[in-house]
Amino acid sequence: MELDELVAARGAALLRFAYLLCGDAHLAEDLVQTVLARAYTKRSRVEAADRLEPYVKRMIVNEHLTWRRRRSSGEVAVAEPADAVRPDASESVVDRDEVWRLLATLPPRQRAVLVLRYYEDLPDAAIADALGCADSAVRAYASRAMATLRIDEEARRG
Amino acid sequence: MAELLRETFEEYGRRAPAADGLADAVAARVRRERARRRRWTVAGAALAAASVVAAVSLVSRVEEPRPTPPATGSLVVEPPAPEGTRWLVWRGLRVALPVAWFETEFDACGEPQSSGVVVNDRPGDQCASAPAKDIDLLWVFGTHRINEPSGRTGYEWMRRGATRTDLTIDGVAAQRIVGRSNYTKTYAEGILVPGREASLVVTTPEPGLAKVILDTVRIDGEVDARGCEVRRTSLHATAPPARPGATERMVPDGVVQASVCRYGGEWAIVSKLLDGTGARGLADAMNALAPSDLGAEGGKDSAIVVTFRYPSGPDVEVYVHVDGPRDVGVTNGAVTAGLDGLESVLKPVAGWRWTYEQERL
Repeated sequence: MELDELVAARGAALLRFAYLLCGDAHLAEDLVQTVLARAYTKRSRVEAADRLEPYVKRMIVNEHLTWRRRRSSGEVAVAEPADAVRPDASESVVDRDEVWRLLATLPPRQRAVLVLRYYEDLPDAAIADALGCADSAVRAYASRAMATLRIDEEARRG
Repeated sequence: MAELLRETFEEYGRRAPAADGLADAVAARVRRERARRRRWTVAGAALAAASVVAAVSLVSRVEEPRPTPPATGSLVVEPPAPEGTRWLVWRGLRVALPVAWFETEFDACGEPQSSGVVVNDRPGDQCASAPAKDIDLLWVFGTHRINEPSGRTGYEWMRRGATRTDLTIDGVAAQRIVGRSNYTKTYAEGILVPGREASLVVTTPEPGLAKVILDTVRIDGEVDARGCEVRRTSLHATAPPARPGATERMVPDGVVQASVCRYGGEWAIVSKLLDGTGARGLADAMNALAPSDLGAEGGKDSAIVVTFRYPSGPDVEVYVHVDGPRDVGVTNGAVTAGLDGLESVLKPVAGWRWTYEQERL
């Protein structure tokens, strides 16, 4: 697959992925555009990758984590999406909104691990490869993230 | 919880921004990026005046072969630096920098106020000031500093939160390190060369600039591009010079070139190459020094070693000890002299007593 095809066919998927990583629509657009522009400037190398989409997603993850590092320490991720839906009477919808809010409180690497594991369904080894860390680190990130979500969820439920 | 997470991602994934116009937006960015790169690579007086452009212009020209160490009796030919730049040479590492960077301005507290070079952590004393915002800096320092307790000039970011990638430059193992400086609060990228115990780090608001500067880094062999041995364990003359006349005069006539090499802790921390007039002027100044019976011992791990070269025949090495616990002086192994009269000539080239490495740029 070439980059042009990827953008045309999978652009929406890339934006979804970026949005789940960063939780902000504008940031997600900026992230994907930045990464794709960089991919085009290194086109031959990027298109030589065995599987283009995972390669670009890996670029998105790393760019996102780099951006997070560059931000000032006082900056906090957007907790609520700009287009947040109206609360639904359904308990499950409320739960999902609550989980989404809690995801915004996680450190970026922990959140990235959850997105890669539960949205992309990647095995830990692939996540470790994408993040440039050990499998054990992935398990640790995931464990800490899940613990945070559970604790906060339990606190919310009282 | 896992199932709830999957549902949440599915639900919120549907609320992601639409991909309409994505291709056009990316194409526009690519055009902007290419235009920016073109601006950077255009050589010209107007652009060379800007430090950023000067640093990156004609980067491809640094792809010259690694210099061969000069044989005794042959002259050193320093590889040309890209236009508008000059080589900074330290511990056998070379990096091309805008000429203006060699005149870095510091405030009263030693904090850098203009783009430039900071050698071995000079800034950062006890004042409550900070580096100027939005300037670009190359930090040159020994790798031991990375693990020192954090201070205001700390390299803490290199210990945590930075990514490291192994690479090889001119056959020498190195690491590229990327992160965010805890000191300048900007993007930081550097090259660590463990074999030289040396680090070169660029802090800048513009990540592209760091990459371009670091891409100019070359690692010379045992002798650097200016003819200085990169590391010397002995900084004292061990035998009389082989060149005829050198047992009577410090520097025999006929000098055409001189490598001025200052050592600190065995490493070459200043390397300068003098041709023609400069070399002869230094030779004349050394020949005019008053003889001394005190010897020239100085310290064991610091000295200025000047290698005088001739069109043919053996070189003459002169050891200048300007500081240290023992007698200071100048010697070529046969002739020994005091220092009086040498400072005004040698200080601008290699510094003098108690000068910071920063002042020897």
